[in-house]
Amino acid sequence: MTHQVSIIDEGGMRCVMIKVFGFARRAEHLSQDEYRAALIGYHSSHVRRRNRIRGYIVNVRANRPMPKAAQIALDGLEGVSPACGQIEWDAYEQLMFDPPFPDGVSFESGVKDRPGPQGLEVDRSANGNGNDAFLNRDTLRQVQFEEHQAVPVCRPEHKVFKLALFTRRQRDLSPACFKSTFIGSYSALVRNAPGLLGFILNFPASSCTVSVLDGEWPSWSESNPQPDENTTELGFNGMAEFWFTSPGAFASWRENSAQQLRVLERDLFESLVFREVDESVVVLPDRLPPATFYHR
Amino acid sequence: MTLPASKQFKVWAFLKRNVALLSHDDYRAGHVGFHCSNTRRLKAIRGYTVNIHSDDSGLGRQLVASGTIVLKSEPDGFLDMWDGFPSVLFDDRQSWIAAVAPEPTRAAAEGLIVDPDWTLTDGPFLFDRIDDTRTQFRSYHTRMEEYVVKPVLRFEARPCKLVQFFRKTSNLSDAEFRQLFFNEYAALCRKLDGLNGLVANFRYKDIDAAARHYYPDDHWCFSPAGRAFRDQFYRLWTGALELYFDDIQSFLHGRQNHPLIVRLMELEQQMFESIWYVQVDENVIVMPNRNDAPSFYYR
Repeated sequence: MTHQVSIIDEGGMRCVMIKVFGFARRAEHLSQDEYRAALIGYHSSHVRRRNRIRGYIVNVRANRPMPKAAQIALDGLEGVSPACGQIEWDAYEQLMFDPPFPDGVSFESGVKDRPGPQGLEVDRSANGNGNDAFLNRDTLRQVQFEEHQAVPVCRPEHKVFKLALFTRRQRDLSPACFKSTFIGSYSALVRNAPGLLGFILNFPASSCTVSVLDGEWPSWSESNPQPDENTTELGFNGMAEFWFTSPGAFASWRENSAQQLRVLERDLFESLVFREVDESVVVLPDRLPPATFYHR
Repeated sequence: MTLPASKQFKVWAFLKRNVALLSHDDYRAGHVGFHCSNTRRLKAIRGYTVNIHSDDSGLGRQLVASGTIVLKSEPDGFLDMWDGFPSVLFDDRQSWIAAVAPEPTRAAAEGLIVDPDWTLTDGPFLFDRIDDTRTQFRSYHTRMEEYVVKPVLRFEARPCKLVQFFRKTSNLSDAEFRQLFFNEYAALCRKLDGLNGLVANFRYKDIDAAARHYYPDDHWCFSPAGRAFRDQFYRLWTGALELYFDDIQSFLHGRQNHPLIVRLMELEQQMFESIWYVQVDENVIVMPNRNDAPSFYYR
């Protein structure tokens, strides 16, 4: 059995790891702040226990106006439609994990991590899988991604200013050209920004949504072309994540590179939109070979 | 070098596993897995790591062989006294004491509810149980006075985290020790090449500073046996540095290439009666946020 994998670009090394974003809408009876508490409180506390998990980030859409400095810096976007992204979401979760192994221990199988009178036990309670029927409005929309670490993330001990940029490529650009320009020219404009803590580009690696939490995997082979034409389901071809120390640092970068950004964003994107998110690090991603012991 | 003490209420809790039930690696899974799925929801927690010591693989010999690291009087069997220590940050003492207060964090049909399955009943199976008739367990909870010498940056990789334990020499008064520590020693340590973060911690002399009102007054830890148990552990060390590097080689290179390594070693000989290192595997349960807390639920 083959499984779809995301190739994590690790300084030229090919590290096989699966990266999935799950886009979720809060259940209608929860306010956005109640949703935060349930998602980051109960839900993620249990999902983080899953086997083979190597990273787990919860990004909740900010439900407050964009900080003024950042908003001003984005007002200058010209020639680019602000409408992008057909998936409605209140949060997106990032899951990274090792592929299922021949030993049968995979992400979805029970984990023996509950101390009991006989030693460690598999937690058979509802807590064991983190499923909660009253959290999300619809089925979680999970999509696998291939990522490029333009600037590897380093996190300070304070809340950071994080933005997700959803983009749809210009129709006259080939997927390959779009990707290479995004990774090359666009990243070059970002890389040296003062106050930048990380910049990662993500490209959909599957043409459909999956449900890895339930053990559902699309088939995959090396010979498959890189999926790109999946805008009907996703509404975007590329997604970039920016980590800055503050809104001011982001605004300074936009202002200092305004002319070059304007030209490149017009040429590269048919549409784009920035969204501020509040990032919770549930499992700090670990890109090293897996530890031989339980580690989160 | 002047450094303000951190505002946060910081607690370390050294814990020994229940050896009748769990191996060291079982303990990792039980503590970092199920146990932390509950404790990361402690009310108003602002930072939380669980640091589990690596198996002793000759770290001391490796460090001594480098010729640039001072080791003195490591207590015998130190790693047998504990398997791991959580490090938690709260805004203040009151928040720490009230941390187990129920908080609604679970979605239900009627909205957000207190999770009825939230529990700490795994404690006696996970930790060093007093005896089979009680659910209490032994622990070394201690409040730490913290100084961020170099703010920690965490990359997306398991770091090499070293805890440098030390006991102050009796030849120096507290004031003399602190003057040397802050004016010279910490400033020199801060300049180690490859250092990704450095936090200095002094153990509160009041051994009940973290336990008082957190545990009930009749808890075993306040009994004569409990006090003696804790006191013998605390007498071994005055404080500890948390040092973050990419790997152990980076630490060794940082020491070897330090332009003032001779002075650094002189200070360590002068200031510390005991000094030794323990490598720990850090699990970030709640990324520390040293800024003011947001107005919404945040971990």
